[in-house]
Amino acid sequence: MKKKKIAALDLDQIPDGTMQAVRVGRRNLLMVRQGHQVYALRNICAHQGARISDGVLTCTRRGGHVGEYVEEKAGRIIRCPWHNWEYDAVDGSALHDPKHTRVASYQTVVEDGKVWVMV
Amino acid sequence: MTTTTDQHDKTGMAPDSSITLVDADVHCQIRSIEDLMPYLPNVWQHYIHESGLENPGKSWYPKVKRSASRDDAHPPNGAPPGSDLAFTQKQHLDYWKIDRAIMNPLYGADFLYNADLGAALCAAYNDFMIEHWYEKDKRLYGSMMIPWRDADLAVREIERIGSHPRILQIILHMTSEVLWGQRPFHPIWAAAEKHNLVLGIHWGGYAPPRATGGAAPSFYMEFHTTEALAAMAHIASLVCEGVFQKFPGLKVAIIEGGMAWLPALMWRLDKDWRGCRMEVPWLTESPSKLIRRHIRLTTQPIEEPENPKHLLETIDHMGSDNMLLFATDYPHWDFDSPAKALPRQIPNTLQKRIFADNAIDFYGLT
Repeated sequence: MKKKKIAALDLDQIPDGTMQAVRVGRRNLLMVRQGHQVYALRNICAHQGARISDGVLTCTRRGGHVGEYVEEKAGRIIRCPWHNWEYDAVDGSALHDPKHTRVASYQTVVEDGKVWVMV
Repeated sequence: MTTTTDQHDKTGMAPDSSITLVDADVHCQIRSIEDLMPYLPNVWQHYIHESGLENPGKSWYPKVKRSASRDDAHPPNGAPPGSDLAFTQKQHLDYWKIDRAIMNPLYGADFLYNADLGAALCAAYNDFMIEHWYEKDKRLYGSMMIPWRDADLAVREIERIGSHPRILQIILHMTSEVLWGQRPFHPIWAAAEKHNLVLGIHWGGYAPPRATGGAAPSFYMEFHTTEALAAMAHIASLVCEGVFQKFPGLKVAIIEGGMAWLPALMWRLDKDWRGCRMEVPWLTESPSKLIRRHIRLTTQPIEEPENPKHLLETIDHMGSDNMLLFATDYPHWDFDSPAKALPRQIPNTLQKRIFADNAIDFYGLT
């Protein structure tokens, strides 16, 4: 089915390094801004259905040696407000099982000061 | 429903396909502390006689039977149950046609706060068992004791006898005052991995009982049942502390802690891992995968649901046919009979794994 290009919000409505819930058509989406890039995810946790926009936008910690904590992916990890599942804003994948668990992600473009979502 | 099991063969010999019954928990003990005197340096002989020390460690509960043993397991010569090799051979090994047995001496030497005394007694006990039990019957493999309160002394003991061909396990306890995954023990586990020694975490111990959320239960029956909670705590500790990331060759046997709770523990650990990964980022795969790869449980005392099919379903929930090792716990009172313990509903192929193949693979028995 051909996707529609729908305006989600003005770019200046979402400050850099933040996330924001929007409604696009019948869909509840979460927009995450990193610089000039804006990512769009379905705003429902794959676990028990919480609005992930009520969680926090943060980083994660990379697996390394025991006792070693290395932060990475700053500003692109969404932690669910309920059970702390982590999602990567870039593709919606859940960090604990990226191959099998994710929230839907949508292509976006920024044109003329607006963020457009392909749905 | 199978997973790959690492081979672990201390002798380098091919597994013996004629092995059909392995008992993964049989107990042996000395008759009295005097048995250890020939194996102790003079200074510790004098110290023990001066102090009147009989046996380190004490039981916190009157048991339901003398020495917590079967009434028929007391040798006619009056020696304690499990202290007479010939009697154990006749009553247990020969009678049940047991091909291999993992011997687990239970003794409080490793709990002594004087780690030097503990180290001396552990070494003496290990030497006694090697000479009088493990080397006397080719069916027997042994567990060694270590003075774990002092990592340097524990490593020294592992370096001393850990490569002995009849030693394949370190015996630890569930009631231990400590959690075995924690970092002070990691140098010991490094030595264990180096010598291909399984960590055998056995029911009970000589520390004040703390299995049930911090309080000591009033009765032996409570303690006996709820040691499963301690077993769960040790597994969670080993997983969360990253022991299996740090020591990928290390294996752990949970002995006499029950087994029906394992699926629920794996489910809970996996669930919490999904939300708490950032606290233990070194856990790059789910706890259940680590448990299936590194941990095995002995069957005794096997759970006995009213409908035996429920036990089979529980094993299915473990997600692997490799998890269980048959054990009797001879000579103790809660002994499981090789003829009756496993429900008939368990398929022959799975019975074969539980009775022998899993232990052969896990311990590298020949």
